[in-house]
Amino acid sequence: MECKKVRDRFASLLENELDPLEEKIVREHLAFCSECQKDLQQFTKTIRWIHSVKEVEVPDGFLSEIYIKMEERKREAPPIEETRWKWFRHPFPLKLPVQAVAMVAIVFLVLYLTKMMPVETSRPKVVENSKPFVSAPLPSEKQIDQLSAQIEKKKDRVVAQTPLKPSPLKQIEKAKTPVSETTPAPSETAKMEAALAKGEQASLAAKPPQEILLRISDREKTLNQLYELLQQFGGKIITMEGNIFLASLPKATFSEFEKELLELGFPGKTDKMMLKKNGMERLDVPEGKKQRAVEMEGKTSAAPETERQDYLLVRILLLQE
Amino acid sequence: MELSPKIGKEVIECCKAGDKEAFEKIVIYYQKKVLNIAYRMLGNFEEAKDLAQEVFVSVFDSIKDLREEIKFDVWLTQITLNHCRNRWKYLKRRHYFNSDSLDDPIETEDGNMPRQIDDPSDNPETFYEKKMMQQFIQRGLLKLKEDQRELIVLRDLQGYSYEEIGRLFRLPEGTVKSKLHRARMDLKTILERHVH
Repeated sequence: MECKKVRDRFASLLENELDPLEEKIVREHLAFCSECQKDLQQFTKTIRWIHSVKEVEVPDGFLSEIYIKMEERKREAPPIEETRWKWFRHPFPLKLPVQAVAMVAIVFLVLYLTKMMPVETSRPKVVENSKPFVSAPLPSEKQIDQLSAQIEKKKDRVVAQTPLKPSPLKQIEKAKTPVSETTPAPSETAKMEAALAKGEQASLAAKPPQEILLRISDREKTLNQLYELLQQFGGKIITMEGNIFLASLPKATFSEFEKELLELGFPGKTDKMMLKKNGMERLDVPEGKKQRAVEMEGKTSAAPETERQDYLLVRILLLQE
Repeated sequence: MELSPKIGKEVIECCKAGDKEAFEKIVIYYQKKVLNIAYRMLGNFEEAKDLAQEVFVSVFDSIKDLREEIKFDVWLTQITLNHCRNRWKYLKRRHYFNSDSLDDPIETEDGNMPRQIDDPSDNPETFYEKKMMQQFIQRGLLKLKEDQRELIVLRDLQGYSYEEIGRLFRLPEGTVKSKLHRARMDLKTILERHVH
């Protein structure tokens, strides 16, 4: 048996807890191992020392001092204070989950509040950004130029789109064709200038035109109805190029007019698109209209209506299907 | 360690009901054991006395929560050891034991006397030698780890069985034996270093 194993059995040997065979092996080892013998002697001595330790006696007045301590404790912790500071005396493992839940709640509250704040603060910013555009219109000459350029651009695209679902290649080809072939730009600008010169709506050009896209089946019938509607609401056709009409309309009657006009189109198919576009906006392909319209509605709704013109420019685009 | 006939179930039940006479019976019966465990664990008589009294105050306050299946003796020893652990930590934080060395002069009622440790088991007859021996072992105990000290105090000084110690520490008997052996060997090493 190894020395270490023998030494591990010293306590059992002294307490006579080893079985006879094991005790015999240990004693045989001790007989020839002087180191283990010495260690056993020292161990025995230590145990004897420990056992020699005497018990101390209880001093007089031990019990009465216990009662004094009880009284002191009662005085130190009155019941009211006990309830008031009860929370702080709870053990930490109990307090920790409550504190953790409170912390999570606070974090969520802060996140919620910080998420809400930008929505509230962004609105004034949008108004501020849109103000210069509304309140500081460009000089009328410049705007007329821009307007005519915009009309030309849109015309190009609408002309390219009017055939029933043309192939992309054809669209590109048509878009590349010179503007003068379909609509001579100078003539339209001249008409616009003439209309403005009549002094009907001096401020028309200062404002981007409303656009209404109308899907129709019978062009002639729809045109008649359109004329009738315009007359009914006190409006006039300013220009007419193919399927694009530029009309002026009293502002007050515009919404009614628009409603009536949309009813002329294909039921359910008519794009309820009312775009208030600035000079740089361009007409999109039909697939992207709805999304665009939503975006633009968002923009226009954010901008306050500060215009005070009596007449509105309305561009009506007819799409024959 | 069964209950003495003097401290039967009925005494415990009366104490639970707030009977001070029953409480006093319990104190008188167990005070020496609690005080001695505390003294060997802390090495200071005044601290031990104060602690033992605190233990009995705790017993009076919480005996109503004592469940039937738990033996009163085991419960009382657990309370005592818990108090000792807390007090030990408290005193250690205040560096109470820092200067305490086996070579320090021995405090007696007549003042300090220089330490001259010879093997005390040879002839520990005189009063001072006995006193010196007691304090020498006590300081050796304080040098042990706390759990080792608990084992030696309970087994070698208080005579608890391995089974009782196992129940107290929730350890198998075999583990208790091996841990106790380790503790004794460590104490032997500590004491050997200071014996000429």
